[in-house]
Amino acid sequence: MIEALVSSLLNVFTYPTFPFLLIGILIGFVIGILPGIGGLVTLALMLPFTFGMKPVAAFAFLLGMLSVTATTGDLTSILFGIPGESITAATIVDGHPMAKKGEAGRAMAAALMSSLLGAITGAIVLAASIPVVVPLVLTFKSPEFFALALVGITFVVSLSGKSKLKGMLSAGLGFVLAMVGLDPQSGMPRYTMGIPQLWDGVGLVPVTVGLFAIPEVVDLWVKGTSIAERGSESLRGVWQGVKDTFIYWGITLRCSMIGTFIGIIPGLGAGVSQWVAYAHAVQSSADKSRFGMGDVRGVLGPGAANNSSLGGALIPTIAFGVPGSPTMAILLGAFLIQGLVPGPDMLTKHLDLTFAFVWLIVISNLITVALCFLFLNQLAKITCVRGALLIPGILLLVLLGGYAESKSILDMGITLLFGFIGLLMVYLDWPRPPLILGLVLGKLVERNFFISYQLHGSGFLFRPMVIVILLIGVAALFLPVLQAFLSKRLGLKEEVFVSKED
Amino acid sequence: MSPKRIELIVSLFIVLVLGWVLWEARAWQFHSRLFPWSVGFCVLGLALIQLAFSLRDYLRFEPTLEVGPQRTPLSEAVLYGQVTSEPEVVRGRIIVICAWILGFYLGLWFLGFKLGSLILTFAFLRFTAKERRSVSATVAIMSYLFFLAVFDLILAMPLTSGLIAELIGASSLEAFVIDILRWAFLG
Amino acid sequence: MMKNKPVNPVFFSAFILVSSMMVWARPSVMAAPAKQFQRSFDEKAVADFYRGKTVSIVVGFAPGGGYDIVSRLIAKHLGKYIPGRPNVIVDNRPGGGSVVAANLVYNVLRKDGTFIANFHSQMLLQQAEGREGIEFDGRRFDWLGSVSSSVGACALRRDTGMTHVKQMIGPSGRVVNMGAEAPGSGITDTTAIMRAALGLKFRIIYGYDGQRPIANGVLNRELDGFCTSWESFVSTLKSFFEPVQLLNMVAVLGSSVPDHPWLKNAVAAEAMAPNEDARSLLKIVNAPRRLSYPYVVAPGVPNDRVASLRDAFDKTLADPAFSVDLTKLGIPLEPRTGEEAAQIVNEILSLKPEAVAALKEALKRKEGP
Repeated sequence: MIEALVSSLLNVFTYPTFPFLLIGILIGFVIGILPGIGGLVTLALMLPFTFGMKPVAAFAFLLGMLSVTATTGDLTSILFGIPGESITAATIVDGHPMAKKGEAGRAMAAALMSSLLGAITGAIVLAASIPVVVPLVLTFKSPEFFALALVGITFVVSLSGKSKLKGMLSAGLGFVLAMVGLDPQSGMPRYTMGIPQLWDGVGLVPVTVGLFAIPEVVDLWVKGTSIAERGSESLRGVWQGVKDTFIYWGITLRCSMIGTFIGIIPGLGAGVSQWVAYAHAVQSSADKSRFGMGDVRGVLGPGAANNSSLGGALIPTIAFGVPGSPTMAILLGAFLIQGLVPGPDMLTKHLDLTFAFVWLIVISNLITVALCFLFLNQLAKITCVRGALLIPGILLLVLLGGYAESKSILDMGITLLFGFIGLLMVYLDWPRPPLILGLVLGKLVERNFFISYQLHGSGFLFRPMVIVILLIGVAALFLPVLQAFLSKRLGLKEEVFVSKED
Repeated sequence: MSPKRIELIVSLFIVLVLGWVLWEARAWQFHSRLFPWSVGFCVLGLALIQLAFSLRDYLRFEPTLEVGPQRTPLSEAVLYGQVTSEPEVVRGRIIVICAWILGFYLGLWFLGFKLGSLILTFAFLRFTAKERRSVSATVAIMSYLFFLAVFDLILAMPLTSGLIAELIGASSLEAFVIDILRWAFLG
Repeated sequence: MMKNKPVNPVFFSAFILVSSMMVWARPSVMAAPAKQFQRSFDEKAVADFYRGKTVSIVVGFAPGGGYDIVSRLIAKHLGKYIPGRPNVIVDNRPGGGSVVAANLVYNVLRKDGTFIANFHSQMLLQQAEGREGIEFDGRRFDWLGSVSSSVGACALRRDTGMTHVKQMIGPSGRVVNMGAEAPGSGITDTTAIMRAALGLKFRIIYGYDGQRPIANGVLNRELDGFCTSWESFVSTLKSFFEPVQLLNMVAVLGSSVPDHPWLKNAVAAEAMAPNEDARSLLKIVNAPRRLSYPYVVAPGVPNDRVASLRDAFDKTLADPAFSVDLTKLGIPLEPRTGEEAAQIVNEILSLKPEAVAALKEALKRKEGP
């Protein structure tokens, strides 16, 4: 096995693999900056080009692209407050306020380094889990998915700041929004008002882009300055961002693990793990007051999680041939085109190819991060440009982001609508992340509930794994209360329960 | 309008929307109705509590709005009276930018991405941001070229040419104008 | 070549007025629909029209899916067979399971021969059932043809011990959990019709979000089996058979079983059907699969251009380079011409009201056997 590991590493640096890796990275970089046109669409558009390529080269091309788009998505989230991908929305919450404080360089450096560490963690877990992946993935069935999705919504509590009622209401409204579309049980249209475009529900990307980006556009115009209100800090900020990743190594590492494991579970992915990671970063800090206003830990968490999910999602795809996400489904198409059959063969006959994937992920992330660091200062200077000059471009990107996924003016209108809703929410201090979480998880909760009920009757709630998951959720919900209670009663310092990293 | 009044109106609106959600589902069969009703009634409960709170805040003298994690200069300027400039100026700017956001949406819808971005960018920069003509024109042309290069040339992923072009049956407004000019000058 | 005098503004405005009136009165009103399947066309006139233009294949699914990739393959080759050699691109308009794309091409987009629609033929069945939101008539499209043909097929997990359908029929038959999406999808309808027509003891578990989660459900053994198109089993689901066989194929939704080693214990549903009514229901539900990857243009496109497009489509499908690429996707090339396609469409959409009612009854949501 060691020789396979080493030989596949050397294989990456050969022709034509390495040039295709670079081309993939370049294309992914440019397109990843565009909101709404994310890794999924880029991958799909480039897929036909792989018809004539050899396997390692084809995957170098595709994986290079995929690895980059999550990273560049973080950059637009930080600089402009526009989610470059729906999986980088959580980076906006603290990343963009940092840019406004003039710390764009620090935020981007932190996002890049945590992304790199997240990707490497995902790759290592991919390589190391090869012997144990089968029982791990097969343990989770529909009742467990239901429990996981339900527990995911309890993270709303940590994302709501001080206004818990508004947070729950926000999540509840997101959940109701998830009901729009064709009913998964009967195929009947619900709340679609006769519009076939709504049969698939309200799009996550238009809602996310509108909700987060449009209030920032308004903010930029109202304050009349550049994005960074008082100018940007120098190169030292970038170095500080790199250091932050290691100072807060606990958060970085734990959020990488969160991203990887949520990525492994089919049906869940980086869309969910970014918020779970953010919530964890908040909960594990003693001083929560700066979150939402430019706390670098709020950047490290999601940054690590959304890149590690790729490695995690590859595991069920390679091991079973059942893709863990729509992106993986396209990658599966690439497998077919290359004449490969994913499954046990990939772990035995084609083990060197699997290891090549691991190396490709690691190396493409290394190259991307290196390239970004080269241009980081220039990118940070964008935050010093007069706001008015940037507004048309940002607004066009936002509306493009809403439109591009389904080429639908209706989706663009949804972006607009949720933009104004987001504006109201900011004005009235209603937390926005719970709405997104409710929208994402609501569909999962309903589908898995009915499937579990049809298969097991009401007994599905009493399966051991389900009970464990639900207990964890309850514990997470009451942990802050428990911490406060115990520290008061027993005179223990609160720091015993939280990380010593402040 | 004070934030408290706006919050009261929004809370009321949410209650009404949830009422509609529940009402729409009344005649559906069980499987379609279960989640909309179970989630809907719970959220309605929360919404009614929120309505009660906002009503109480509205009728009270002191502001009791909680400070959430999202204070931005926008909310600070307007919400807390700690204005970075006068409230009327801020309000005016909010209205202007909201009008432009709507305008960009309509412009892209009717004129398509290439032509729409060109015209809208120029108009915004020149007339609202009061930039110089050369600067406005340059940025406008850059956005036109961006959409042309990325979507028509590189990705071959055509974006909408706008509702007007669709209605008159042209492939794009630029093509239509060129056709007319060609007819006019070349016969 | 510039004229010497400037353009007369009166004439210019009159021109604008008249030409806008002409394009408003769109061709669909002026030309009769082409039902006669004209095959000859004036090559020069067609070439003059298409030269320098772009033909868009409007695909009802997002980039990356089977329909998108096949359309991109067609786009790669189609241009050189259309007189005038236009540029052919793919324009993705996903939504409503491809209803949005079909509605768009039928109603909104220009009917001059520069837009080709590629939607899921399952929509034809939905039109037959009178589903709301369908704003086209499959019979009135001008059919260019389709790329492939398939049959529905059902498989069960090997470790359930089910090798033959008779183990699931009758009083001693065993109940099996079959995964499905919502009623209206090909997977769900195939499963439901098998149950209704053959009396199989399928307990249909509704609500899965596509073939992928259903396959997952079979892998982690919460489901016993599922039905989908045979083409899927040999392509995207190959890992269920090689290197270790995890599934037993038990039935196909056709009149005969294709010749394939995995199908040795499978029965042909139409052969096993108890009566003619059951047989016709099975035929109808499978009919859309006989038109896999269909291509149409809107009614009202000038006959010449339709004929040239049909000709180009046939030539593309016969192009060896195209079939080599198609094989890589695991999709069998079984082309149908426009005429053949239109005939199948007619079968689906000329059902008598009683047949439609029987169909809807068989396909509606019903959990247990």
